[in-house]
Amino acid sequence: MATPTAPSRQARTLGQSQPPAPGGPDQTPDILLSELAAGQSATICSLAVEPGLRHRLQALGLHRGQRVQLLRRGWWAGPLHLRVGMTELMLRRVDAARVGIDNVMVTA
Amino acid sequence: MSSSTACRPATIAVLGMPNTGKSTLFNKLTGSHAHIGNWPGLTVDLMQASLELAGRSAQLIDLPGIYDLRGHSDDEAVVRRFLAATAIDLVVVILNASQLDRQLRLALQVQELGLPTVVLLNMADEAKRFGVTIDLPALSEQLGLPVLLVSAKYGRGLGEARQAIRKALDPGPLQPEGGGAQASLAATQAPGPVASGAPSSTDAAQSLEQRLALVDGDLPQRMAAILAATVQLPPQWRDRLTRRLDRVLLHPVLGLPLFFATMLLMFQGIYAIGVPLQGLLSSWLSQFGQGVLAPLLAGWGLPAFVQGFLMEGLYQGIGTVSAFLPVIFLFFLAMGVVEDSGYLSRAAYLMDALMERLGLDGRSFVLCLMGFGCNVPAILGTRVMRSTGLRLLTMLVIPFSLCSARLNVFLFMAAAFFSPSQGALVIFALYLMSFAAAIFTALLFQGRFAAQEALVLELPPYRLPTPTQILTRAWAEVRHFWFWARRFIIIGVVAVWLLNNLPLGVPPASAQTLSGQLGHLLHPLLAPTGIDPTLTVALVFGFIAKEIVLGGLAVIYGQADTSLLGQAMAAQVSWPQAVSFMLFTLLYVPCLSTVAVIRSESKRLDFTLFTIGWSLVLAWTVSTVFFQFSRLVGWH
Ligand SMILES: Nc1nc2c(ncn2[C@@H]2O[C@H](COP(=O)(O)OP(=O)(O)OP(=O)(O)O)[C@@H](O)[C@H]2O)c(=O)[nH]1
Ligand SMILES: [Mg+2]
Repeated sequence: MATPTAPSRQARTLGQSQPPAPGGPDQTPDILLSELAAGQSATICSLAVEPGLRHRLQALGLHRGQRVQLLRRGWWAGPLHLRVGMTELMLRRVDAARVGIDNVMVTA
Repeated sequence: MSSSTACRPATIAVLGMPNTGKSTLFNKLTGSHAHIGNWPGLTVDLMQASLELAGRSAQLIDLPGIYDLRGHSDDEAVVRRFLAATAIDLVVVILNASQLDRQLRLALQVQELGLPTVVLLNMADEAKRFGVTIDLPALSEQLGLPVLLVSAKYGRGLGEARQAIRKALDPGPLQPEGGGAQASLAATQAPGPVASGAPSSTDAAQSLEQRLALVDGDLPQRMAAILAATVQLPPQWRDRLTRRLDRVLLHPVLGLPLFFATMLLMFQGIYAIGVPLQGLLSSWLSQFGQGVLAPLLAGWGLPAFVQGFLMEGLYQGIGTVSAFLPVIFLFFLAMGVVEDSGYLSRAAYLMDALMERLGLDGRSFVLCLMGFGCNVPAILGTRVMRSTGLRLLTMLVIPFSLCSARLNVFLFMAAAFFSPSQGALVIFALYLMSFAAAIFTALLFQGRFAAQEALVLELPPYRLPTPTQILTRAWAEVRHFWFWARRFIIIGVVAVWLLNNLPLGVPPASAQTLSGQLGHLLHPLLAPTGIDPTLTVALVFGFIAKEIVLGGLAVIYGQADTSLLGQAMAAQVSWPQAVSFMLFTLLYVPCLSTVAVIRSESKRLDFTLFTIGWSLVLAWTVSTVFFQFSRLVGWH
């Protein structure tokens, strides 16, 4: 994290301005996971996170090229409820703003 | 070394991602009672038990869940340290069969350890229900390891698993000569003779890191290829139950009210069933004491002082606390169901928005809920957090969770001072107070422990515990309470009784006794809270453990039957004084064990002293405010 003290509300811009993740030629993503609406699914195209978190996300199934589906968004700007493969998980919006997506589709 | 074979017991490590059923399997194979729950990160420390495998004895070690062999949270570090420092004969990798699409990763990483390995795909029942099919022989061939499908919870496939483990332990032709099957992380990579001592753990961990980084590059491709060849996922998600339940329980508006309503209902149920049971048991114990034990002691012609000590001290003190065993049992039955259902993760989801604004996260809330059982495991549970600030702040608020030991004191006092319907409300209000204290504390101190940690948490499918599972759990808690708490209670009760009756010759429990003197010494401090010198002694001993408070009261007021004890107390204490006492008991230091575990987990003496100081300040302030307010309003 470049600025760990940054208030969470700024995380979106922070996520975008971060250098691309090592190990892959990531372009600045057009859409972020945090912007997905309930019922939509998309493909992950970039993960702009520190290595520790990247490992954790990968272990939970979130890696580039993986489809994710957004089941619901929590109240009061709460976390996102996602399905990734056979796993369901929650992810804070701040953190979801570091994940770039494309191929957005409505899955009902 | 007591086994019939010549070799020492083999060391078998159970490794896997969180919530895959490692502890369930461990319990099934060894008959132990490791804590199980549908919550990733329940086990945070090593647990060991012996296992007899067709003539070969072994030590099975249940490890905390690990997402990644490079994980850096404290619970994962426990695993890494263990792997680096222990000579392991066999690794049993547990993967959730229905989530093989992501968990296979860990099996591939474990392969890098170069240790004999058996892969168990657990939760076969769920994989089947969700429509996941796995080509076992193909998977086994691709990995070059034995792979078995089991269901630890329902005991399926465990016989075969034992055989596979036994077989893998045998030093076969594949094993290097000499050392048998034994290998440790350091030994497998360092050429040349293996040092007899434990390898330097940092070295071993570091080189593991390097090797893992090396395989990391082609790991995704390998994994994808294996999955494509061996695992078939359903075209559509099949867990209709979870989907339907979540639609209601995670509802943006209804979710939280439903959660609290469920909790309220649970506590009301425990109250409605547990309190009458407790009353019955306590009057029975008291009758037994007076009808059988007292005449027996009198018949022996023991001195009055000794008789009093045995009856009014030991018997009444222990009896009063024992009468609460049914409540404890009921309480942990309910806790067991909640913990195993998967609702805890949902609670984390629902509360995270609020917790985030308090500098905490959803997991902190769940740990506070676990603290309702006992604060000690809840504080250990903070190991899943990587950020120190978040961990400390969570440890600061957990002790305000109204644990089962405090619940006993409150159930008793509520019954003594209020009607049954009022009593239930008082208990509920104390639970609210417990939340309020935690929230207030977090609000006040979040700036000092500010921390940002990403939160990703699995929401496992809803599960129903088997009756055996929750009965064993509740029974284990009762046993633990009985064996563990009894020591403290005996010491505490004896001390309270002695303080109340010494020096010899003064009227018991009078101002001239030691306890009277202690009470008067602290009186200037506690007078504003309305807690009288008699009750003060109970509070002083409550510092050691809250079980002593109740036993101490029984000794102080000379009654074991809780209804008589209540009457005796109510004759001397007004109800606002009683409430003030309850508030103090709720908020100040829960017990010495909690203090000790805060010290060992935070590794900071100043922080530990700070938690003690803050809880005392808060307890005193809240009690004083309440008591002075009640005087102003004229409730006396
Ligand atoms: N359906 C099903 N559930 C299981 C099975 N084995 C375990 N479980 C459940 O899975 C959940 C997790 O079990 P645990 O044994 O606590 O898992 P663990 O791997 O020790 O978890 P951590 O200690 O958090 O790493 C509990 O709710 C168990 O009842 C199984 O074979 N089938
Ligand atoms: Mg476990």
